[in-house]
Amino acid sequence: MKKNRSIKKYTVFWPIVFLSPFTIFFFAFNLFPILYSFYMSFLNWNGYSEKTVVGFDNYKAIFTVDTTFWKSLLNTLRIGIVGFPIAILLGLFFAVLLSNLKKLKNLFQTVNFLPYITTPVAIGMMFVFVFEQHIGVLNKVLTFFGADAINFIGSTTYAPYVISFLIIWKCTGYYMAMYLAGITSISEDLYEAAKIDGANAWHTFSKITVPLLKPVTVFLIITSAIYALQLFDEPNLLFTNQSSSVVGGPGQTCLTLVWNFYNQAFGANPRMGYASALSCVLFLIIVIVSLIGLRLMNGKEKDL
Amino acid sequence: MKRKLSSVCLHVFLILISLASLIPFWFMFSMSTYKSENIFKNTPLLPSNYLAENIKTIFASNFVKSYGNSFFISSVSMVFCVLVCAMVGYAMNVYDFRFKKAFYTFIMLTMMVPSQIGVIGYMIEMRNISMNNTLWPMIFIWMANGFGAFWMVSFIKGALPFELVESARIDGANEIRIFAKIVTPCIRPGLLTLSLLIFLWSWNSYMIPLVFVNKQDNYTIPIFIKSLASAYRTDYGAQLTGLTLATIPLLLLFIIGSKSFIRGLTSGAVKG
Amino acid sequence: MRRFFSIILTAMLLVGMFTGCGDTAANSANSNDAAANASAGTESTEAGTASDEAVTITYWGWDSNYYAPMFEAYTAEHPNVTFEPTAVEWGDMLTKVQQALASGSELPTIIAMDLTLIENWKDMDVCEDLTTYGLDKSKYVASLADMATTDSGKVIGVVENVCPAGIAYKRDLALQYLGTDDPDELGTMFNSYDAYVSKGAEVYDQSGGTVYLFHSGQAVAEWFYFASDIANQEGNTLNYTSKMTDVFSKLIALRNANAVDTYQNGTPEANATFADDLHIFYPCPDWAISYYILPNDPEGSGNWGVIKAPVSYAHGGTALGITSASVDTQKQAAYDFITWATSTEDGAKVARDEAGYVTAYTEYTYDSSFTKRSDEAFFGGEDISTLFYTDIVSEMAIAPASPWNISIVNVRNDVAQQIMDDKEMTLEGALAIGLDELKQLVTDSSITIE
Repeated sequence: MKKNRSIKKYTVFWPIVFLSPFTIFFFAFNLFPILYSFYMSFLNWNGYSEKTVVGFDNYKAIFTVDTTFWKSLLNTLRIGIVGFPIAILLGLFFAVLLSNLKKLKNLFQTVNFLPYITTPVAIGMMFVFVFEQHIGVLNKVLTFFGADAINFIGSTTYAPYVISFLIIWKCTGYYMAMYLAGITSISEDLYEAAKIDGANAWHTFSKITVPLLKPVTVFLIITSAIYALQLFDEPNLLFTNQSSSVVGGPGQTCLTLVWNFYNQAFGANPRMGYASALSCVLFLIIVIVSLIGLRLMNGKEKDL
Repeated sequence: MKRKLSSVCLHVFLILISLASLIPFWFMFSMSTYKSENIFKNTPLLPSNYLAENIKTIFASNFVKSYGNSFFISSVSMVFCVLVCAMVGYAMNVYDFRFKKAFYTFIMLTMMVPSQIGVIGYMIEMRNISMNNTLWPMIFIWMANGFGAFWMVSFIKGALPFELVESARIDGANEIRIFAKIVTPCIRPGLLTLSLLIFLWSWNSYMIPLVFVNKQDNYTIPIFIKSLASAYRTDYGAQLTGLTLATIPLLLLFIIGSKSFIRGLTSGAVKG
Repeated sequence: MRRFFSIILTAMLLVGMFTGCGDTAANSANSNDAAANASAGTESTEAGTASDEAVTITYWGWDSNYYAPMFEAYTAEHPNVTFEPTAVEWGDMLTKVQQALASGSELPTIIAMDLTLIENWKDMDVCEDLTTYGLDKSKYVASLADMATTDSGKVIGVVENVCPAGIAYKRDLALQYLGTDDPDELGTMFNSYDAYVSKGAEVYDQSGGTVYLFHSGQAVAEWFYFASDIANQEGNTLNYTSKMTDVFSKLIALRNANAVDTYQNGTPEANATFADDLHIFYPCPDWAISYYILPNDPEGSGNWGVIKAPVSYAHGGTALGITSASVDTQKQAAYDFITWATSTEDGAKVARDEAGYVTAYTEYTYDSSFTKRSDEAFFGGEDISTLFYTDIVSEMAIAPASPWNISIVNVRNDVAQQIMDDKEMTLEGALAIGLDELKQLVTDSSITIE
């Protein structure tokens, strides 16, 4: 191919025009703040007094004396590991069920998508109404069958799983929609061929549907891992609707990484520098998780 | 016969699942028709008669203003984000340039950069450009959305026949014209799907407004609803009425747009 | 369908842009006005005349039961003053101000500062020294006024109310389960913490396990916390163990006697218990009458009574301060309002009759003819005024605040809830959990926790 001017136009000028807004906005409003946080992580600053430079002290503290950080990491993992895999599996399961329907498919899909569009503020309030010990609907059902009411929201044992359940309730419909989209784009011929070969439903599912949905699955796993590491809205809103609310929920069992970060930065005794260091560590964790995800997605990249 | 039976079972099962999705909505609506004091006396299965009063309470407060703010933030974020992302998607699919592969990796990484943990730096940045008392910090954060860019790249890859672009070039149209007049109509389902998602995410966004909203004039809907709890008497009924009203536009958007939304997901999707 | 949808989307977008732009325009117009007013105001003060110029005072606080009637009454007398209150949750007040300071956002002219957190407000150094406006601190209840005074003698706020606290009860339930609804007899019956323990067990058994003395472990812990005279901090030492042993051991004794239900204090469902017939007693500072009881049990008039707690105590207290961020006219107007609200007969009467707050201005605080509350009918005609403002006020002591109070309160709330949730939890277990949490929350290494 000859390298004439018109080619150059399409290889330099126009790509720059079309890609620069995204790049500029990304650097200005997403990357720069994180770099600035990196700079701040070497400071001791409470937000209003003088800043002092403390070198790596903040990082040292995270890895030596700060047990809250590790606790919040464990909490986040616990909530996420219970919540997201179930939501993804259920999403896949319902998507397969729905794909067999002729009528009402859209209706079911739309209805089950609704939890995903609900404001977290509303979800927090509605879940109190379901899980609270005295007025919660679930406990009314339990006591109706003669069991003791359980203080799901106030108990250190159950509270994290309420968050997990909340995630399942909220995200299943979204994952289902994603999977259903994937299934719809699988060619009918494959299924026809499988039928002719006499494959049963399970075989079709495990040999055709699941492997062909792998890109969707990988995508969902990566995005949900990032979502999990950034959990804040749901636990925060579930546990700060009262004057006696406790940071991190009962026994701090619902203190997630980002909530801990938020509390260090903007809590009663703010430590902006320290919180910045926390955010940098968190950033690193997310990047590592993402890179692992990227490797999984590699097949996709090669197509391009 | 057996087939019919299993189909009935399937439907019953799906209806049950859908009920699980819908019940909290029903409670939200039903409780919003109660006076706060009465909500907890019994399980509010059926609506009561206090909705008008609750709506009055809501409208007497800062609700309309907050609604307007949320609308403004979500609409502007949506337009900018979708435009910027569509441009990326176009460029990544019709041009061949040197760092294309690197740029694709860059997009994948942007999708993974968690914007909310940079909030301290973002706050200082906004302070330095004197944007702190405005709604713009809640908008800027959406302008370069990694998911959006990734989405548009893979959507356009599946939906845009390259010949269309080439023939337009031969006709002498310039790139901006091609993008606006020829490409945009082709990728409309993808644009709509992304628009809905961005609108949804920014409408529901909580942490960024929590940090940046410091006065009643700038309240967004989530912050407004939270603030109802801070009055000396938590007006639960009014809070739920506010939530119901805040959920309605999203509900309508998604119900009206569900066909387009699903079509967008299907044709773009995250295909192999 | 697609067309229809895109039309709707476009319409929405246009509306959004329109309202948004309209708002921005209106806002900037407003702020221009404000600036104009401000500069006009400054000139007139410089000329040395009392300003009748329009002035807008912004306010952050959680206690709309107090500020709403006060603002209304003040604006009626001074039509040139407009108040713009922003409701901020009690627990968010410090956070909001700190965020505003760090992000360079506007601070309000007046802030409400809970005395529990007063040390944090002093550290933040955002408030004007009110003595420069002519405040005579000696005219206010000394113990409260001292709390709002910094080490260097700056007075950062005027305390709006004294907060004597007793124990409120529901008369019908007391009569049914305790045999009497007379405040004197109940006062004698419940003259010690042990009495609450033994009676609590009786009531629980008698009712078949449905009726409790108290609704929430957190509320009870809060009571014991304020009733304890052990200071949270002495020098660089936090007296965690001694103070919390006091609090948690009493709570555990009550829990073991089934005297306390498991509600979380301050939640809507907990507030709904004020109107039920399953919980008898509520720890009750005088401000809680308009803050909790009246709004949550509006039909309960005549059914309430108050007795003294075994140890008379004070609970809460709020100081009004003026931030340095405002312009001079606003500050002066804010000072005029604050002194009106606390030290003039007009203002103090509004506070007394509309909010049920008695000012900490000694001339009125200790004047028993002034402190006659207007809501005694709600308490079946009981003389709660004498109880609160003569009997309890003369006995109550106030423990000094520590800058780590909010962390201590956070730990107290958390552990109290866990004590109620885990019936097996012992005092040692509770103290250990709390100590662990507190150590993480107290990030200043020069502080030791006992």
